[in-house]
Amino acid sequence: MLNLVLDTLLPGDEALHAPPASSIDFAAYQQRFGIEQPVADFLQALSDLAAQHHGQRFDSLDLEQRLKLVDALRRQDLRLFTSVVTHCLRAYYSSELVLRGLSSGAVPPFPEGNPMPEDDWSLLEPVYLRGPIDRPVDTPLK
Amino acid sequence: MVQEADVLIIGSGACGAAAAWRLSQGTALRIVCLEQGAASAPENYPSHTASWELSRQADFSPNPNVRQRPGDYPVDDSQSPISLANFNGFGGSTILYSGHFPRFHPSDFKVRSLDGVADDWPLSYEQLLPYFAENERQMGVAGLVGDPAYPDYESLLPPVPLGEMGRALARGFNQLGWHWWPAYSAINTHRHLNRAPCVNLGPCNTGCAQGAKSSVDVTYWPQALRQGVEVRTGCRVVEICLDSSGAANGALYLDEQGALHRLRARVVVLAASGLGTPRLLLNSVSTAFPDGLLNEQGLVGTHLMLHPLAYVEGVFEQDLRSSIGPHGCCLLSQQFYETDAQRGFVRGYTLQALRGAPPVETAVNGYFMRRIPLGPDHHREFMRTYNHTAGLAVITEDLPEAHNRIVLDPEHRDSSGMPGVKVHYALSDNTRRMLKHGVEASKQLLTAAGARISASFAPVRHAGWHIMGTARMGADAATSVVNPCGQAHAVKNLFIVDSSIFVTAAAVNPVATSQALTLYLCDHIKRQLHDLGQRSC
Repeated sequence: MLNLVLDTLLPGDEALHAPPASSIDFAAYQQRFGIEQPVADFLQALSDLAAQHHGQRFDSLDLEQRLKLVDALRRQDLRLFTSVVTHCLRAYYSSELVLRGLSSGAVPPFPEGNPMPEDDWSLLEPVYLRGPIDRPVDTPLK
Repeated sequence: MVQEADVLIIGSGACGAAAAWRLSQGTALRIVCLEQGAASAPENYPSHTASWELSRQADFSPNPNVRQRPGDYPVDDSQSPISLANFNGFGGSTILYSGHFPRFHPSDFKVRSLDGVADDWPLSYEQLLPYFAENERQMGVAGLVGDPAYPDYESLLPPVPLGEMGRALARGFNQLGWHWWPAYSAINTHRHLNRAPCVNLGPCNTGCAQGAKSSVDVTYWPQALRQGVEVRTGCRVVEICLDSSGAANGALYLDEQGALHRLRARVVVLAASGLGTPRLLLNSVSTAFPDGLLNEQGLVGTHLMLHPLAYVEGVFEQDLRSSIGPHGCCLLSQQFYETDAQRGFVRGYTLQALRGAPPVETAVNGYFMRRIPLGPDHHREFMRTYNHTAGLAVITEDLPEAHNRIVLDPEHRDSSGMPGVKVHYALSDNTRRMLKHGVEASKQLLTAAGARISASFAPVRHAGWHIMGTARMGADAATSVVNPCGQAHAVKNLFIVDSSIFVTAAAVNPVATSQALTLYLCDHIKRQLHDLGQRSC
């Protein structure tokens, strides 16, 4: 069920080179941050809501129904919802697989780094032309 | 291990490092620096991994309460709208700072004379001028000379590139006829003093793995160590000690194993930051100073200044690759720096351009601000935001007020049992008016640059990096803690050389000025070393 929930929150989008959230190593992330229990609570809460609202299992619902249940969970337990959704977003956008599809520069940043772009300093011409703006220290406020 | 020194320096951050270098230059002094945190290993900096952003909520967080490294101490900021930020380790907060490095202006030292508020500094910009230049050479500062707001710069490394985002903002400033200038950046854009040049990693504020950002572990410290200074990390000073005549004679400190040591010294130089310095003074209780060392007037910890920030963000239609590049170093504007009575507040602010948020921050903030949904539309909306945003920070001048203060917090103690600190801080009406003006100006600028405003708020909570004024300098012992030489009025061989002695805060990042001030004060110390403890300098 975890993978289905992840893909409900963050489904893939091939056109944008965004893989589904189930393709990242969320288990490793959970372990690193010790969030197994809140994730389990989150999944259980969604299962309970599916049973209450539809009399079915969460994984038998379509995407639209699943998203509505996610929103229902947000209204029911904001603290749990906020915590787990934040972790899902953090896990997804810190995944090397995801970042490489984003054109987010070098992944990881070091050691490759990114090109230093050239700049057009003629943009400063109007600033030069307006002249000094520093305040002489012998001119008290009038 | 040597337990006797000529000079004991407490704290290895921006000012402790500058002091160690200056005091050891051309002298045979035995200098020992005690640092409560550990040394960082650049090979462990987060930018080695794709998941570098996650470290900002963990062991590289700027918030000591989140970071909770052994060298940290608790900071209760529940009575402050601004949460304090720092880094306790070899190199201090320069390990995590963004490196935005402008100087204070001449007018910043004369606010009483010019504007009738706060106090003038007991020294002038002109006295510090050669020290600004020397400090910038040692640190390695990039920028462009010729700034109409800063006519005195003579030499800088080539500026950090503006990038597409910076150019878009610059065009907006030009359209409005407002001042802007490439950032003054403590970043080596070229090889400088044997340090590697910037390779545009981006995450400067989780430590620079390249060593191009001018954190003092790669600038002053290597030179100071070659000049014979000894640094002991993991050593927390718990008390500055006095002899029977009332002179400082060293300090008690705990090592990493918790063993208590006594280090004797002829001179004590305190450089533990605007937060750590008052904490240690207040914790150093004696018969002579029952309310804390140098606190006979009740001034230690008071007059806290923080540079309250506003933040305004705009989203552009086009992809500006705005998240690439040194986050805090792009351009600044000082259009509203000096007092203009028509604006309804005294003093002014700097606008500092901030590059776009990295991916995790974009996604999390975007979701909770209801701009980026979950579900099938997530990626489309994410891609319309990521690399499309530009931020403006409004850095306001915070005037000193006695009720804004740091006190000891015996309810929360560090790993060695020493009390943490509690912050009592409130925004003044002047600051509120300044923040409001800055938010409106930022919106005007971003709109002129072609962006749609996507966020604006003030004060920014997690922005208390600039901690100043908590052991203020002055000529009058009744209203200040140290004299114009940084020498404690009450203990002649105890000096404070960090931003806690600032009289006012100006409206720019303080490190360039605090280090120039340190170099200036250390020259006084060196000249008078032979009879310190006997007289005021």
